[in-house]
Amino acid sequence: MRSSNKPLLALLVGLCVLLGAARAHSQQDLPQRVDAAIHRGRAALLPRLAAQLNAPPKEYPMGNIALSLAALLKSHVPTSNQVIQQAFERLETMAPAETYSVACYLFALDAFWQATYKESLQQAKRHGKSNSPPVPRVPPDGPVRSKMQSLVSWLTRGAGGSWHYRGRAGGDLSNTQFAVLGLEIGLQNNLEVPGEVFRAVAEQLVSSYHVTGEPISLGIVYLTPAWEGITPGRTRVANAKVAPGGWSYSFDPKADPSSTMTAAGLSSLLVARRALNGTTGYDPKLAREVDRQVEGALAWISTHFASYLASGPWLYYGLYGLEKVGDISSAKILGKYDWYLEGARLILRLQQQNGTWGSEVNTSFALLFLTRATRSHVQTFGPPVLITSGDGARVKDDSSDLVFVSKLGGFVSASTLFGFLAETRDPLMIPLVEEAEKGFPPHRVHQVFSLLLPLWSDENDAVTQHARTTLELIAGLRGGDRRSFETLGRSLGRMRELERAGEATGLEVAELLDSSESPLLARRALDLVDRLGLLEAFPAVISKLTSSDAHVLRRSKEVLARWTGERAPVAHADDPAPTVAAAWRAWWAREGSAFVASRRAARLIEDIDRANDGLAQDAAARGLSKLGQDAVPHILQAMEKGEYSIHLVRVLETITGKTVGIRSEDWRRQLAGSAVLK
Amino acid sequence: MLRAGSIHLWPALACLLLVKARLQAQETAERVVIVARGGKLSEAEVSPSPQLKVPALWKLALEGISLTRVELKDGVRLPSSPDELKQWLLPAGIAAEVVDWRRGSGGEAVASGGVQTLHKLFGVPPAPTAAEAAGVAAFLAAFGPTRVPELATQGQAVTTQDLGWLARSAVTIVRVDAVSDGAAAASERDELLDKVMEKAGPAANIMVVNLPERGAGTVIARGPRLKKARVSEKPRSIAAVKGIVSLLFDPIAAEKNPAIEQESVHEIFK
Repeated sequence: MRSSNKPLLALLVGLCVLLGAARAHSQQDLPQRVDAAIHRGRAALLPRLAAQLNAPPKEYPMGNIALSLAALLKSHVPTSNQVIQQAFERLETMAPAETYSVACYLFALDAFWQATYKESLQQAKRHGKSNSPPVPRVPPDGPVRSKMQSLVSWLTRGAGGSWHYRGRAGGDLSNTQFAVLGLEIGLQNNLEVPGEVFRAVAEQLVSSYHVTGEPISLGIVYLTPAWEGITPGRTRVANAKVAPGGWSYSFDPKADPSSTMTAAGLSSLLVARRALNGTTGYDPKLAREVDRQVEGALAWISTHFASYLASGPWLYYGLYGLEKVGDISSAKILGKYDWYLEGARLILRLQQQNGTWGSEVNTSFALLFLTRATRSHVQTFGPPVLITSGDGARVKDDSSDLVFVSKLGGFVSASTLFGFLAETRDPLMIPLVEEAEKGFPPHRVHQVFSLLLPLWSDENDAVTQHARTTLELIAGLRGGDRRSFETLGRSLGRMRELERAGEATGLEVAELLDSSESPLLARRALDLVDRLGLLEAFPAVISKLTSSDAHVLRRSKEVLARWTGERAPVAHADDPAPTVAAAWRAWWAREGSAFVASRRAARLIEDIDRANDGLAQDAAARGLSKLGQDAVPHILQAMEKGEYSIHLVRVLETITGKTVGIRSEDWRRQLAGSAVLK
Repeated sequence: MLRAGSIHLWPALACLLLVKARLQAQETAERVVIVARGGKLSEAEVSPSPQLKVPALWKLALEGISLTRVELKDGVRLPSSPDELKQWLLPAGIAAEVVDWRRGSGGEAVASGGVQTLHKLFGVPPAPTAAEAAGVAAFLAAFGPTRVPELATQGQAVTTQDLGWLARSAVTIVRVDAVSDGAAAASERDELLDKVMEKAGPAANIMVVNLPERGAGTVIARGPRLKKARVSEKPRSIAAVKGIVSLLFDPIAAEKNPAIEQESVHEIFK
């Protein structure tokens, strides 16, 4: 018996090995087969688009043409293709009327611009380095941008978080998902999209969500975006126990979810969440509910995955919805399904002999799935690099956030670079941002804060550690929570504004000095106090006399000595820091207000002398009058020089109520012995 | 006809051109009005203040420069003779009309000073020959006549109500002899100043020279080249005041005058 079973066992093992090998081979050559299918599909769709231009479909002519156009551009048909050009010309003649159509027009314009951008990059690569790519990543002011803005504005007209066939109000989830994806295109292209729209969308979806069962264990494998030549992306596994749920076509919270509408609701919720994250109007309660429903919908899709592959009239529409969910969420595997692998295999199997998948609409959806059309610009290309001669000296003004990264051989937008790391949390990116951080000039350090803080998340991963360590290093602080660094970042930003304006009040700078123990902030504030003579900030300066930072300590002493003429009142200069500080505090309590009044009077008298016009002289004279009798000795002292502004006479009369005339000796005689001169 | 080669005609023509240019310059130059006040001036008229009842003088001080210490040694008084007054205040060769203002109904001002003609000021060219005169006539016809302002004759009575006398000469000295330091009299003198300032216009140089019976005198002046809203307490003599007046007429020549202190120039002029 035993000996007779051995051949059978060997045969079974062999079969398993062969099947496994065949499956592995099938996975390995999938990219080539997908490329071939896209090539055949676009070759079949292009003449059909030409036919659509000759005889536009009766229903949704704009939407049908724009959808085919977007699919062809995503399939790398050159932007210079004549049919593509003609299609845009035809679209230009059509007035926006339907939600689907307007959204598809936006897809097409976005696809056109991204294709143009990518073509220009490839051309630059072919011709070697140039000063900059000829085409910017987002359309600049011009016909494309203005068309996109007008379409976005059309979508945002009306009210509420849902759309019907002809605009924003009421409606269904199918129209809504197209509208929301159109608005995301607006965001990606830096167009004006009111924040309230996304809040309304989130509220609409949260209120119509339907939980279908008890919590289940859900595992999702995320694949973060790749950046060619820098990082292939990385996978991250998240496990959670969540109750599955989803949406129905009519936003009915009691209706059972459908596969297409759950994908539509989830992709829309993901877009709204991305738009709302970090904005002040994003209610924490709503945010928590959105997060919960995102997980629940992912769980629903993973448990109903087979329904997305089942044949039916909405197969390609549903697969396109699945692609949007997968690519916006960066999910690679939902539960036990590699959604792209499964969907692509099915689509390859269903491609017809003529290269299409039936109608133009289905062919377009199939191509959009295969090309992963929804992947964001960052996911597709990585942050754009402006190629330069490499000396890093080209961009220096404050308005630009470009930083030179030698590893990239050019300038890159700091916010995009750090944003990419925040999105991917890929440790391979850290050396790049480290270089960018080192390249920031000291006066723009506050910008580094605003770039690093978003990297500091609840996940205690390498990215958070990098953000925390770098912030501590820059600020000169050990420990401290995220909130304290947020405060410091804001203070540094404000400090930069005051430095640039060249004017500040002593009280505000004192507040900034007191807002953090950071020596970085203290050094900047002390420089500003010194530069502008901000006497009201001196109590805060005195408090820095006990600083453990040698530079801060030295500057505090310098500032106090320079502006008061005192080196260390009462205490000896060599006394311990607390003793010196205590002596200064006592001096300030005793003489501070008179000292400030005297310096302020001197400054206002100087202002009167320097002012070129009557208005400025009047303003300074009013300020001087407000100081009251403290100002009188300073005014008389200024008059003693024998050459002075006649406005000082006006001020003296206002303060003393006396009429003495313009001669200083008459004033001195008149006021001799009075309280004001004591 | 102008003969080519008539060499002796060229100096006459050049002289005419010079006269024409200077006359035109005189017509377009800023007017100079000096109000010389003496006698029983009130304190406020010498050292004004915004709260005292001399608003015109205060306005002048705000718009110009105030010199608070003009030293009047040995009881220096306001000269009664127009020639002496001109000698005190004006550089040599400057034509001016001197009017004597006295308090009274209607605020009558009487022109009592001599008038120097422009010919005297600029010099008279030698009389041309008949041929030269014909050439000059042709020249004038081409360039238009040089108008010589009609000057007031000595002793002509004028009033403050229409201030027509102000328009008769580019340089006018108004002599004000204060016989009372009462508020009403001071107010009337300030009103005269107000009218003079208004009539002369903002581009005019207006200088009030106060020579009180007691204490130091003052000068309060405004003008396009004078500093605004400044007070200078440096002691100055009447001669120094005359130096300042000469700067109004010819800043470049005055700069070369060693009698004028450069420090004063910087304190007073822009």
